[in-house]
Amino acid sequence: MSKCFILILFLSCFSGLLFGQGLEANKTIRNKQRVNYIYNVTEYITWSNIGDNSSFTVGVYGEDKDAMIKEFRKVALRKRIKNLPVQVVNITSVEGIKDIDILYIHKKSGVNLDAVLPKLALSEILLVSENYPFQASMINFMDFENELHFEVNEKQINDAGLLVSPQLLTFSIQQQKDWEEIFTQLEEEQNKIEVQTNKLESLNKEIDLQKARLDAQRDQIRAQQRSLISQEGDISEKQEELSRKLSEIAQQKRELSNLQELINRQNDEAFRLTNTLEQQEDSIQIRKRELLQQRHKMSEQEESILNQSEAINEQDAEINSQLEKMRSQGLLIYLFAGIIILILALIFFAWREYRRKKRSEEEVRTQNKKLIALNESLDSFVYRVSHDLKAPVINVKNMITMLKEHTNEEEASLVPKIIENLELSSNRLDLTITDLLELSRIEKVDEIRDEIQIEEVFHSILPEYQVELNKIGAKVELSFKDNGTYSSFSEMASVLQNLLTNSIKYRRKDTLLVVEISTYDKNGQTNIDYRDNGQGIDLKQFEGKLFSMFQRFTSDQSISGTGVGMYIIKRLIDKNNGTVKLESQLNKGLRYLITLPTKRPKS
Amino acid sequence: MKLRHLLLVDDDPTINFFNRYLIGKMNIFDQIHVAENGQLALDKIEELQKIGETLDMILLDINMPIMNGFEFLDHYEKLSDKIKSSVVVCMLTTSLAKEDLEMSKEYDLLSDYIDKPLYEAKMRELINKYFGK
Repeated sequence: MSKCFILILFLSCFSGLLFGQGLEANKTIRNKQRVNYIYNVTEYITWSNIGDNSSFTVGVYGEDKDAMIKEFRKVALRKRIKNLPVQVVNITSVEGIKDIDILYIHKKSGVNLDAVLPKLALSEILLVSENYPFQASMINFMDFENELHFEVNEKQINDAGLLVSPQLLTFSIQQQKDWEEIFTQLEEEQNKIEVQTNKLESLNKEIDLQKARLDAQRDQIRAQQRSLISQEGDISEKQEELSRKLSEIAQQKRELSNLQELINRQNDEAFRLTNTLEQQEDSIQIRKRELLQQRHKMSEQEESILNQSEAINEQDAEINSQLEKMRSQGLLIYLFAGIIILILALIFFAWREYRRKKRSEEEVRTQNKKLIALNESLDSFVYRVSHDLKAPVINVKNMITMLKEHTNEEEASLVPKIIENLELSSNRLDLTITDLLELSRIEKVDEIRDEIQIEEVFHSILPEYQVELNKIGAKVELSFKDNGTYSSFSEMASVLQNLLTNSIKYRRKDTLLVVEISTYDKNGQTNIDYRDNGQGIDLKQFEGKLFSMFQRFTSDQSISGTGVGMYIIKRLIDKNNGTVKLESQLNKGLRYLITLPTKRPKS
Repeated sequence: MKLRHLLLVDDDPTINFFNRYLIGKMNIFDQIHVAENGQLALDKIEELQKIGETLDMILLDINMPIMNGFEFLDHYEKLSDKIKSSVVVCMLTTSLAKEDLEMSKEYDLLSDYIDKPLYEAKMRELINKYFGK
């Protein structure tokens, strides 16, 4: 039977959680019940000399680490016996039984109680045993179906020098037959447990076998895993190589699409350029036709203007000398001036008459539709020109009117002012005619183009400006580099003259004029970078008008001009297949960026 | 009846000198102002407004630097009616261009269009037409 218990204990340790926890808890409960029972028993036993002791000592047969002893010690910490603190000791041999008040022995400890009982005579030690046969001990109990059954041997208790309460005797099992009945049932129960334990054992063995098999399989799997890992290494290497190749391919793809885009852009550009070229060619053709027509008209007109201009120039000189005389000769001056101005007026009327006549002649040819169209295209130019010619002539006429009125008056204070205005108007007339000649010349003449140096052109025109430049303390900074261009020498001279004239005319009053001219080659074109530090132009206000005819951007009446300078610059650069761009800010000077073809175009 | 303010807008100093003389002699206006371009004319109008005065008449040239006659009219149109209501605006120009005449017709606030030169008779006619009793 003890073997059976040990086996159960053994199994409970090895067969895992299923059994173990329940069994352990059950055992703990039983130990608690035992301890409780022993405590209860002490209530019914009288120790005669217990009052001399300082503590009550309980001996438990077995090892110190036994669960029963541990449980007893736990309870002893808080529960007294006979109002004394309780000490629990373990007893490992029959010889060791001394200095205790109660001895507890379980049948499974294998102790023969016949050897123990004589030792307890008059010792006042109460023997409490479990699962021993009937009347073999002092108080003997057994645990069956969670109920404690006990029998008491009064004689043995009295032999040990102790007294037992009759009350305890009434609760105990009195007959050996009753005891043995329960005892047999208990043994049967325990046998059943043994059978189940054996079954469990064989199951355990089976489990061990399976475990071993599983271990073997696990090893096998581990080996396979190791080989898989090494294979994985190979695969990841290959994957890396693959992704390297893929990224190389993506890179090449990107490069290809960049190239494609570049090609597309270039194609677009080429297409656009072709379009522009076509458009330009068309407009050049139209322009050429117009020019031919205009040239025809202009040469007629120019002839008349030339005649007029000569006459006017002569008259002008005469007026000047006459004016000198008039100033010294007092009132006679007015008369002479009047006559001269009348002549001027007559010339104007003659010119106007001539034009009217010419216009009527043109009207004769109205059937020719082409000529009408041509005439109309010329109209706007003529109107603009006529405004500029008419204004000073009207002024001359008005001044004559004023002079007439003042000739007969004593008060002649306005006369000098009138003469000043006369001079202003005739100068303006001269200026306008000069500009008209220049305009007609640039439209009419196809100058010979050649490979020329801008530096040479500049030095050919510089002398005529040198005196003026020195006078106003101007500085001209030159940097001619890559300045060869295929264009007309005289037309480039005219461009530079107009640039310089404007810089001098529109210089700032508070600063000395600085002109910087530099040339360089860029994209196969000769660039001229022309800057000054003059008054500049408000580009926001005049953007659209910059290079138009008869446009002026200053309200300063002291600066004479007709507003054709920038038009001429633009026109001449266009004629020479160049471009011109203007950058400027008011009062911060301006900058022309001119490009010209470097070489003769391939025909 | 004497009018208060006339504004001559022209860039030609000789024209201004003559017209000021001619109209001054006629003794119609208390003051004759001169502006050399459209921008200066706008400035003059503002200046008069500040002292509580309004113009009676503007004689306007077309071709001028900085701001020409038409550009002036574009700005002038946007001024308050209070400033414009009693003003007679008249083009006075040597421009022979048909398109200028056509363009002038686009402006409702333009009362008249006359050619230079200005004579006393022409001026008298204008005054009678717009300020006559």
